[in-house]
Amino acid sequence: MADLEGRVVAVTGASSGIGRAIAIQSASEGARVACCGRNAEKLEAVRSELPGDGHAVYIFDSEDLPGVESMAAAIAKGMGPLGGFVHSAGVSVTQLLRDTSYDVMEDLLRINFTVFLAFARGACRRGRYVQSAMSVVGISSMAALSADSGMSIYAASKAALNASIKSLAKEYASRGVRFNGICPNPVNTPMTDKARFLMGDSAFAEFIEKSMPLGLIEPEDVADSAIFLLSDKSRRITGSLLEITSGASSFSYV
Amino acid sequence: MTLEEKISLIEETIEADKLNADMELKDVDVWDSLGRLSIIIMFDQKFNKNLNAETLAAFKTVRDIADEME
Repeated sequence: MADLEGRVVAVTGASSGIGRAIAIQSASEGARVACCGRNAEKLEAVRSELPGDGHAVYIFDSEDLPGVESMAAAIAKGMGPLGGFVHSAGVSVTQLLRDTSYDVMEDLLRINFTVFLAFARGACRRGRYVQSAMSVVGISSMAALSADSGMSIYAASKAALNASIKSLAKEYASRGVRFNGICPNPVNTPMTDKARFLMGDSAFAEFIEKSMPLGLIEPEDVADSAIFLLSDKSRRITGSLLEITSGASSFSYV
Repeated sequence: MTLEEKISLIEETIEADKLNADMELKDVDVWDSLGRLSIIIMFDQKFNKNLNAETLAAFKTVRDIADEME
């Protein structure tokens, strides 16, 4: 039997990068996937390539947090009680404190962190999840543990995510809901395209080769860990942060 | 935008003391990786322009940066 057979799994940020890879692998493992994000067209494209039936697209606006909470409830009503939720929606900025704006700070904290809380709040209510088979996974970052210049806001948003995962793991353990996080170093996604553009292709390749001895991390690598944390194979694991370093101890684009 | 205004914006962006157009960037102590990052962000925010590695590496003098500010 596949690892997520019969489960309903909601994935935010499912339209690209890590979220897309997690949606695809969840479906391959037998889950029905709620592809959540803001771009209907891109989400529909991902939904149409998922193996199996019963997948759906849900649109949310990160500025409307009560709307995110209601969406979680709507997914449970429309697709059945949730067996998994992955918050993969995220944005990254590399900006020095002197260059950033309050809008950037607030947007980033909301998308990377507060949306996670709003969704979890909507999903982790009696009747909306399957007791003892509900796993919540936050896609975080190694930046939360040790970040270089220009990452203060991004790192803080991911550290906030990590801290909330630790607390929620305790808060919900008796109700059979698990919370874990995954902290990768930079992953080969549209998010790293900017670094590639800034550094130039060859300098970027050289940089990755030097700093990540095990190779550039692919979205599928992160998805493999997410599937493990969603599945019963990790049924006693909660409140943990899984590090995907690819051998790099620290990381800096600046 | 006049040349003076552009130079003033560069000074403010990288927190440099008085610059002039013909100064070589290698002699500007705050033209380091952080200074370059601030210039990239300033171009993005104020000129809607994405600087890439090649453009950045081609900047030799303060005037080179100012010329790109269109």
